[in-house]
Amino acid sequence: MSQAQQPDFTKLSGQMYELWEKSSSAWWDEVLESPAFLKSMGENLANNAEARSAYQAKVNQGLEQLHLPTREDLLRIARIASLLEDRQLKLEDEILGLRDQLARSEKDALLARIQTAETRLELEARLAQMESKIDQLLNRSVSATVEQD
Amino acid sequence: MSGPAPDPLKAFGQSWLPIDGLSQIERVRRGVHIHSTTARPPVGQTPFQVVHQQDKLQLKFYPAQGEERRPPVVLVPSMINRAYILDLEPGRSLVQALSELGHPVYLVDWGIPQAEDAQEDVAYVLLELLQRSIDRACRHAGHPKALLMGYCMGGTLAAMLTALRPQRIAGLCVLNAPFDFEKAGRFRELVAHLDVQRSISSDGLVPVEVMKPAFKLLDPMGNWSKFLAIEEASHDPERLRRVMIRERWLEDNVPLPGAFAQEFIEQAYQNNGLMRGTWQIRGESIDLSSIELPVLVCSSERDFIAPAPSVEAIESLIPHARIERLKTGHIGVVVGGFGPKVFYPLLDQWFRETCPSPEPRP
Repeated sequence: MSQAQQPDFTKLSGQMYELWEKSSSAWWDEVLESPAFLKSMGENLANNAEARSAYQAKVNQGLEQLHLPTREDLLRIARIASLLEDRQLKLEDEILGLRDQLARSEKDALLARIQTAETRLELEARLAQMESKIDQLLNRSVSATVEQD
Repeated sequence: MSGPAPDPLKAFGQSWLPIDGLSQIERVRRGVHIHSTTARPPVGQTPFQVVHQQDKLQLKFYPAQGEERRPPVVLVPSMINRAYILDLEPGRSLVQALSELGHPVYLVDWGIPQAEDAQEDVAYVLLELLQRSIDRACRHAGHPKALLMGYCMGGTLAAMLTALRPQRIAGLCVLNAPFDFEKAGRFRELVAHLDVQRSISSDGLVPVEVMKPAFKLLDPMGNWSKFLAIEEASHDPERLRRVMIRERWLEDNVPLPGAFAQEFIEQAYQNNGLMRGTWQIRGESIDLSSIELPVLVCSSERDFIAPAPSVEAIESLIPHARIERLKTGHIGVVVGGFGPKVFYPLLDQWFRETCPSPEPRP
């Protein structure tokens, strides 16, 4: 009589584990593509959000009755601070923009000053030339007058 | 980093090890124990200076090393995770690598929004927070324009701003940033039919407790196999540290301002507004095809958060964009070994090609 081969439970359990892993993966893929699951997940999320805001409204109501500041009151203050920061940053933007403009006009002004100085030097040189010519002419006319006399 | 606490069930669990199937379950149990009792390593250790702040946003400056005067690089991470993904730890840090390569780096750290920030919509994020950050980075660096690099949702936002206000931008690089949301994989399926107005209040935050399960559903079995990976890594302290630092980031979600989430899900995921050109910000249409600047688009082969087709679709709107498909995953590209070997040098080279010579002061 042949003896029936005993299954190797050690290996069999390993195969069962692998099978479970593969089938779970396939199951998840199927579930996550199922419109019914996605719809119910969306519904769950929406209901959760609604429950959260309903709870918050009740808490606020309770705090209001106790004349205590609600979450909304605190948020309003935080948002005012945030708006003030925004305004400050917008002013900073303007100041930086003006600084850019100033830097550009300072550059233009510097160029103009250099040009003016150069022109002035040129004119002074020409003036000096003219003065020396006038001097020469005067000298000549003086010496001519002396010779005539 | 302090290691895992002593395991009270270790002796019992070891009796399961000889049986294949049970040994896997025991390994997961050990993984859960290690995960819950191991301290998370420190992150964001590269020294920085905060040069601008607005609401919860901080603009962090990492000075360039060397004498070269390069234009500033502004890094824009996603708003749903912490910015330290770009500065995870020494040796696995995009900001550290870029600053060592000679680029002055400015990291936009969105911070953690609080209830008072709930009304911040996409227009506010783009035109008030991001645009001003780029302006301040340029002023701080003394350059008229910056190189902009956005990661994940940060890349989508960076491209939107480039289309709207390109004046301060010299070039745009987007990494794993979705544009065609019809191809955006499982997350799109999850939110496609969501009644956004009912589910998300524009006056509140989308809490982390709501976002976390949504992320877990992107790869449900990954939540199981993660513990196997942790158990495997636990035999090597250095490897365990690397796994736990990544875990820290993955666990560290950030709530989203309700107004922003409402608009982004509706316009991007449900209407595919960027590809259709129907998304308007304060009355201005966002036309990505109007971008004329140099653009580098990087997608990752194994990315199920921003699948490559959803990223590369931008090519149809910006034909001159250079497309690079990287052989890595969504996170591995910035924190894995792939970053220092392939991605950081690629980025450095593209920045230098785009802005070859230092520009004069404005």
